[in-house]
Amino acid sequence: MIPVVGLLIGVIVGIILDPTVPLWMQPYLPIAVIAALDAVFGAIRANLEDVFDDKIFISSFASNVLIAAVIVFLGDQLGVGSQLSTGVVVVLAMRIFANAAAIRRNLFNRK
Amino acid sequence: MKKKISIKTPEKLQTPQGRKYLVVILVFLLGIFITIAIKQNDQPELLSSAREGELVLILDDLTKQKDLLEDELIKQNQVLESLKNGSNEDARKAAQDRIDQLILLSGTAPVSGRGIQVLITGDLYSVNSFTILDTVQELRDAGAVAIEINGVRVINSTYFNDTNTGISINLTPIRSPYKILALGDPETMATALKIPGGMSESITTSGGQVIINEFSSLEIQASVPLTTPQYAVPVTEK
Repeated sequence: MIPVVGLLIGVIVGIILDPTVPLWMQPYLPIAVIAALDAVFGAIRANLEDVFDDKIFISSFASNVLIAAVIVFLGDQLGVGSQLSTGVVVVLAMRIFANAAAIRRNLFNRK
Repeated sequence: MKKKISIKTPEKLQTPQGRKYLVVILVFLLGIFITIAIKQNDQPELLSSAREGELVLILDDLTKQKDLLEDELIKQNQVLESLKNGSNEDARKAAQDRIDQLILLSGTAPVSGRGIQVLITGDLYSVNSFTILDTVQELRDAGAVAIEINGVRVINSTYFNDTNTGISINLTPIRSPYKILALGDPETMATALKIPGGMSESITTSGGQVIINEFSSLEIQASVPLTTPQYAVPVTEK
C-alpha cells in the first residue's frame, strides 16, 4: 500500500516541480521508465505469490534501469540506437504482459 | 547448485526497515520519472534529441527546398533580364503586378478573394503557439497569400508566444476561439489542414475542435503599417 502512495506522490511531485532532464539523459529516460515498470510489475506478482523480497526488488529495479540504459547507450554508439531501444521495449513489454497475466491469474485463484 | 553471492551493502540497507524505505523511495522516483518522460514526449521535437535517421530526413527536406528556391531564383533572374530589355509598357505592367504581389505579401493593405475560415477552439493544452504556427505554415504551404488571426494580420515578421490565457501574436494577447482567415485556393488549404496526422487531427485528438469553412469571397481587413526600411535598402542594378 505504502509503495502505491509513494508512486502517486512521485507523480504529483513530478507534475508540480516540473523538473527538466539534462539533454544527455533524454534518450535513456523512457527506456529506464519501462525497465523500472517491469521491476514494479515483477514485484506486484511476487507480492501476490507471497515471495516478495525487498532485496530482490531493489536490485532488479537498479539493474533493470542500468542495463536498459547501457544497452541504449551501446546501441547509440554502434549506430543502431533506435532498433536496439525498440528491442528493449519489446522484451520489457513482453515481460510486463507475462507478469500482468500472472497477477490476473493469481487474483482469480484467490477467491 | 546455486552459489550465494554476497555483496557488501551499506549498513542501513541491511535492516528490513531501511530496505522498506528504499523500496518506497525507488517507487517515488519512478513516479517522478514517468511524469518527466511523458512531459518530455509532449514537447515539440528538438533537433538535438533527434536520431540520425530523422536528421537525414530533415536534411533531405531542406535540400529539396533549397533546390526549389534556386530554380525560383533562376526564373526571377530571367524575368529581370527580360524586363531590362523590354519595352516601357511591359515594364509598367510588370511593375504593377509586382506592387500587387508585394501588397499581398507585406500585408500593408486590406485584401479580398477566395479563401477559408478556420475556427479553432481548445484549451491551453490542445492549442498553443506551436499549433497556431503549424497551422499558419500549413496554410502557407497550401498557397495562402494572406492570413489573419483574430484580427491580426500575419506577415513575414509575425511571431507567436504562449501566454497564461492563450497565445499572443506580436505581443497582442488573444485566446480561444481562434478565428483564422486565409486567402488562397479554399480546397487546397482545407485539404492541407485535414490530412491524416496533420494540424486538424492533432488538435482534435488532444481535445480541441477545428471547424473549416470554405468561402468564395472573403475579406481580410487587418493590415500592418508600412515601415521604411531602416537598416537595409534594395540594391539597384545599373
